[in-house]
Amino acid sequence: MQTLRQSMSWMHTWTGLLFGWVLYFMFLTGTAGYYDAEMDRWMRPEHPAPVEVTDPAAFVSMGLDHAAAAAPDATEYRVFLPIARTTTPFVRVFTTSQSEDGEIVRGRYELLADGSPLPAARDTGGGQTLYRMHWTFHYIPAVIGEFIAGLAAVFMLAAIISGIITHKKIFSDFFTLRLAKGQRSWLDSHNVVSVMTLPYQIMITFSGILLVMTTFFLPIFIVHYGYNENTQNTVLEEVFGITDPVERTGENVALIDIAPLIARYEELLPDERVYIVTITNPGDSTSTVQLSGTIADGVLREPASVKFDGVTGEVLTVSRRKITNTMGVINLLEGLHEGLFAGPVLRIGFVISGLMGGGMIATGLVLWTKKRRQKLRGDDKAERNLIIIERLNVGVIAGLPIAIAALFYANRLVPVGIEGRAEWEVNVMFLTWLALIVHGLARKPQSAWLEQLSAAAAVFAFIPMLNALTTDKHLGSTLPLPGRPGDPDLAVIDLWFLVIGAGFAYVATIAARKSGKINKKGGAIEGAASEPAPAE
Amino acid sequence: MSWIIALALAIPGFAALCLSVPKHQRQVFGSSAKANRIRTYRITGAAFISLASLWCVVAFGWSYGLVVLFGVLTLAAVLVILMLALRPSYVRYLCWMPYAPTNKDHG
Repeated sequence: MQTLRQSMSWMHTWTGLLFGWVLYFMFLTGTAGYYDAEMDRWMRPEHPAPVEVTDPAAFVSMGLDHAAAAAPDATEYRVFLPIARTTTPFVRVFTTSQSEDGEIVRGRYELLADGSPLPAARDTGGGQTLYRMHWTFHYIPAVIGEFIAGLAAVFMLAAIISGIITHKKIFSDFFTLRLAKGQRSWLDSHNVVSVMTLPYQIMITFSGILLVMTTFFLPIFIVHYGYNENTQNTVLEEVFGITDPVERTGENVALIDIAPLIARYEELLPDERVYIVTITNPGDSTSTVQLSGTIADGVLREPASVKFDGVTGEVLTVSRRKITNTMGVINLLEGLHEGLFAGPVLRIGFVISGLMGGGMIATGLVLWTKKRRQKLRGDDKAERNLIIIERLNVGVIAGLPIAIAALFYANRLVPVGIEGRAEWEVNVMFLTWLALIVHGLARKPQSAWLEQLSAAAAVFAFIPMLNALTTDKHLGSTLPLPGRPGDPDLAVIDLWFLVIGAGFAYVATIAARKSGKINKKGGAIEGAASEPAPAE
Repeated sequence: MSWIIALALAIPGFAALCLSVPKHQRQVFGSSAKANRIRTYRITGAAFISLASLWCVVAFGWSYGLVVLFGVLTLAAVLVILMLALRPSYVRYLCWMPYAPTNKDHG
């Protein structure tokens, strides 16, 4: 009869291994996503400086003028002001209209402060592509990606809970980290990174499941709302408050002046800023104007909105995004997951927690092989399987960061103007990863670890220099110094590359020491390269 | 600045809690010293962590402050653990009690 702890240990081991590699990918690319907007800008160096919203009313009017000129008979205009973390820090204008044969035509424009269109940049997926692949996996249909992400998150949650139960002395070993003691050190490191970030890991996993719930829990929606083409619409309407458009009457009315409405909005909601302006049926007697705040302005993600009559300017409704308490909990958890509200310092905290999540999975995967290696009793088949996993670990764990770096190299080096350039950037990333997995399988694990970790240190440390060689937006000009504002959003990306490079350099020296390539003081041992690496 | 204050409260908090564990106390002060002042360290640690929590809520507000608090606690604990693993004797300076406990302090 197994004890609870034994069965939980079994569950932790196998749920962890089953989705370990997928979760590692999700953690690393997802963590990069905390800087999606900054990476977007980094990857489009042709773009000018961000627009600063000085007078919301003037910017909205400018956007609406542009929309009216671009799509005079649209059913909806939407203007986004770049006040919070948005995908691009420019004024975004969206138009929706219906063509004569009933098809919906959408327009999307990005404007600078003076109303001129944003100049075209190189064709790139930007940071959004890197961020989105942590749940869509890029090459597969989004629905399948979401389902895999949901499943991985459920297994992750099971691994976390069973891990807590398995961990014998969570409090008395809270500070215990014994280094240079073989398997013991791996277990200690795994425990430390997991326990230190436990609240974050539970939050990120649980909210991750919630974020894909409309895909992952589809059967639940079907049971309650029936299986027909309206299911999704009914759910969206009831749970998320999204409603169908109102038929226009065809009676023409001039577009209302937006400035007094913004003044009224600020009077009604003193804590909110105007982020989105939505005009439905513009120029019609049924027209409405909705002004909304941003979900990035608070942890609770409950921006308020005011809906005005588009003809008289009368206030129709004042509503919060939170419709029910359940929705409030979902808003909070999804807000914590995405961290849009986080300022620059808290954002660093989120990234460190996310990287430690990656470290938790990496140490867990290595620990799995170390434990198996110890228990091996001359069983050839078991050893062969173990060797495959040991070698795959190298290319997956050390190879993925290098592949992510390759995405940034591709962004700078793939020639501008080739067909499908944005897609080629991502292809370069995954081909690099594939090559490193093959390299890991082909080499002895100890050599492969050392080679790939050293390579990771070198490629990350070199990105800021590559940036300086290929663009004029490098640390030399973006770093804020006394006397010049710089561009902190761009500088922070280059600085992270340097920090990550330094981190890998440190880990690579540990690997070099273990493989006997350098001595304790860091000096090279002569002739070590030709000697076989000592067994552990 | 608010962040630095929060860390300046949380790091001594975890350092004191760390020293309230006999085996870590031996790591920090040397193997000969007998474990003592366990309760003092424990109360000091708990007090500093409480102060850090209070400070986060006061400085950043409830919702943002609680998120900041988790970040600060994680960073502080990681720093104390790394210090204990790499330079154990320095942990005593992290908790603002830079003296080795003597046998007189017993109890």
